[in-house]
Amino acid sequence: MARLAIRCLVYSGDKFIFKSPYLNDGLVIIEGQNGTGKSTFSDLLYFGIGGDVSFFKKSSREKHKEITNDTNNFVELSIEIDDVPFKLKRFIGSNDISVFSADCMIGIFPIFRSKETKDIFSDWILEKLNIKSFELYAKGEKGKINFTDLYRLIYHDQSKGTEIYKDHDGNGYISDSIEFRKAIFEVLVGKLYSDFYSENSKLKQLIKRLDLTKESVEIFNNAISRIYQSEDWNIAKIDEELKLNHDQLHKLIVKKDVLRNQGVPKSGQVVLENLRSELNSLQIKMMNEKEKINSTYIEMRELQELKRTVILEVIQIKKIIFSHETLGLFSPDTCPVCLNHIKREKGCCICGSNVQEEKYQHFFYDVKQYNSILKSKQRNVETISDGIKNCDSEINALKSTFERLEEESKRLEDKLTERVFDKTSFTDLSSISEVDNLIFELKLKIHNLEKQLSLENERQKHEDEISNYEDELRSQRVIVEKLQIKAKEDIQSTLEKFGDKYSELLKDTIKNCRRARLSDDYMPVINNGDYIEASAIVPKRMMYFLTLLYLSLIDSQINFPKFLLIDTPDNAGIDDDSLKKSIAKITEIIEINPSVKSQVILTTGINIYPAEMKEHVVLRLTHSSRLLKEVNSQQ
Amino acid sequence: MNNETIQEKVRKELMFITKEDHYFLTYNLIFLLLGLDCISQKKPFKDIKKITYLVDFIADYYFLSLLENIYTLNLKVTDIEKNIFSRIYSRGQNRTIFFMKIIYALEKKQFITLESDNGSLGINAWLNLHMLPSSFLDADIFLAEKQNIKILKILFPRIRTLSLSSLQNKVFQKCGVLTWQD
Repeated sequence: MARLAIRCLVYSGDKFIFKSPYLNDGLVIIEGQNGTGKSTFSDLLYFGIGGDVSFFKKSSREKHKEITNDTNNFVELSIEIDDVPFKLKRFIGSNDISVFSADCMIGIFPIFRSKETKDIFSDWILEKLNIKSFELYAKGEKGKINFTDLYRLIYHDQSKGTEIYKDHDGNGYISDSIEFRKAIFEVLVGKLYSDFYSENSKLKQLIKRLDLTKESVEIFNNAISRIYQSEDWNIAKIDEELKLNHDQLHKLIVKKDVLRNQGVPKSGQVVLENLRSELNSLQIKMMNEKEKINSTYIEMRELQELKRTVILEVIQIKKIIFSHETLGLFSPDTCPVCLNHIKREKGCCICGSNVQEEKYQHFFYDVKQYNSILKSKQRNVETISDGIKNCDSEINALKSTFERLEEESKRLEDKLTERVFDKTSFTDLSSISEVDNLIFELKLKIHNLEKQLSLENERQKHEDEISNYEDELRSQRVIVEKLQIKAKEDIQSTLEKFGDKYSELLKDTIKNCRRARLSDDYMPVINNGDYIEASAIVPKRMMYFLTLLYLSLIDSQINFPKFLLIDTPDNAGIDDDSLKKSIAKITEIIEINPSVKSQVILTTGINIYPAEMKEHVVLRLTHSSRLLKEVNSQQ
Repeated sequence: MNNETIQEKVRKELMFITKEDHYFLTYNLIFLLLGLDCISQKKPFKDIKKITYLVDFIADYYFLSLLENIYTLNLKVTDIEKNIFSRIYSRGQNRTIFFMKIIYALEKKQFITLESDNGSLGINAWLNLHMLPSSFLDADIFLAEKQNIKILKILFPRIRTLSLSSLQNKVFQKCGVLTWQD
């Protein structure tokens, strides 16, 4: 399965800046005194891949002031997935990540899912890591496994409690449930669990669809039986009734023809005039409808042209953003007259007078503003498309009306012609009128029967749908059961390897550990659950993460992405020697299979690691050389 | 961010016009010079002001297709098309000063070199390829512009050496648009 590696982290703002050195494979150590930015490094990395960091929010009680007071600030991560490079860029305060390949921008992905979004950042990165995402159902609720969920077993943060998993970002009860945590472990470690959960999710959706269909069929049935209380007929019966009524209608029409041919004087002329007048007003209506159709066509053409130009603008703005990123010619600090770079003090205009920084009129746009304009134009395209669809619907409706009027007009013309040729004959109008009434009643009855037939056909369709869903459900249950058995069988051997290695690592790092195993929900049980000292929490947790890494190095089928981020594990009262012993295990694990590449980034106190690991230190932070550097001091 | 700052931000975004963006003009200029092989003093692009009138054709194939209809199929210019060419010409006129500022900025960055043409009193230019990143010049995102420039070259083989007035005559006057000299 795919491998993730972080190559470089950049933080850039108007006030502070940081660029990490190149982060190679294997162990990478960032050491520093307390309060110099080690955890900030880990937080920035987590933020960059879509995580939620409360310290970066202005509304939080505990804030990272250098970051929350900074402006135009962003995090840029250079990563590799299976040696293919990508860049991820996320502005502070934004919930979108821009993703770039080596040549171009791949897209701007939101972090959170909504009704309008098709793909979010988590979908993109999971696809790249060859991990199938799926919906998990638990206690009647559902939630989708995201990358930040899996990251809870990749990022060993400074946890305050005794939990193995990193705290979850969301506030959803489902996303921190036992079922979810088990699924996270199974997806990372089990080769077949992704498939099982994926099929299981389809099964749940089928059950839901079946229940909904049954519900709507029941409502439908109740409605039909209320309308046709005494006539609960099936399709065959309705067909029979229709045939009878059509026969009766035919007989009445024949009778009417016979009566007309018998003749009546005088009233023929009045009828002719009425017919002519009716025809005239119908033709005027037709003209009006035609005009409406034409003007709606014009409107639609204009909207189509507008859509074309807005889509072209969207493409052009993407090219503008690319040019800005690559050439870096113009920025908000470019002189609008000679286009040179201005060294302008904050709070001052280029002419020298004092001005409020937020109100300073720039003549140029930065990437954040371009992205905002791009999104706005993309929304415009959708709005225009909706407008075009509405025009289309309107045209169809107008055409139907026009066709109906045309038919009516033809009918009247025929009638008129017939009358003109027949105006000398005499007909019995009152008898004809009686027959006309009977014909009208019969037509109404036929119309109601046809409606009832249509509803019955609809009911039959729903019943057939239910039957199909039930068949599909039966097959899907078999698939899910088979996959569950296979997945359980497959993970058994992996769990044994996990247990053995974890036990071995713990015995080396916790002095009174005799035995370690995993419970049914994959949580460690040491010495059959007896109490162990608080400082043992650190190795208990760290060895768990290292064992996951170990499994991915000895079995290429495992989804765990051969990457760990370990942030300052020196808490919970663990002494330096015990901590160094735990940290020493990192290289032991990495070197288990030298042909397979992996990366572990460790932030720790100065020299709080075995001496032989000194060569892995890439960055040293002190109180005089902290992580975030002021921009002025860099220039 | 307070309400006033949000209003400033929204106002600035509303004021954005794609065809008048610095980078929009910059990349169209760079690719036109590249497409016509204007990369040394031996083959300069004569009278750089011509580019302001060509940008719309490079950026939008629809306008270029109208020129193709007139020159290759000999179709008559309709009133609607005459209006379109007239707007393109006016836009070109209006952005000449702004465009010249961008030219001087690019010269300052050494992306292009400018020289006076004593004969025509215009300004000639060529690209300094070594100053431009290849990731920009080779990017697939500008494929459309490169295609359009090839078509422009076919329609007007001597476009590189035409004077401004000749270009205005060939492209606009022929389509019934009234033009005037600076």
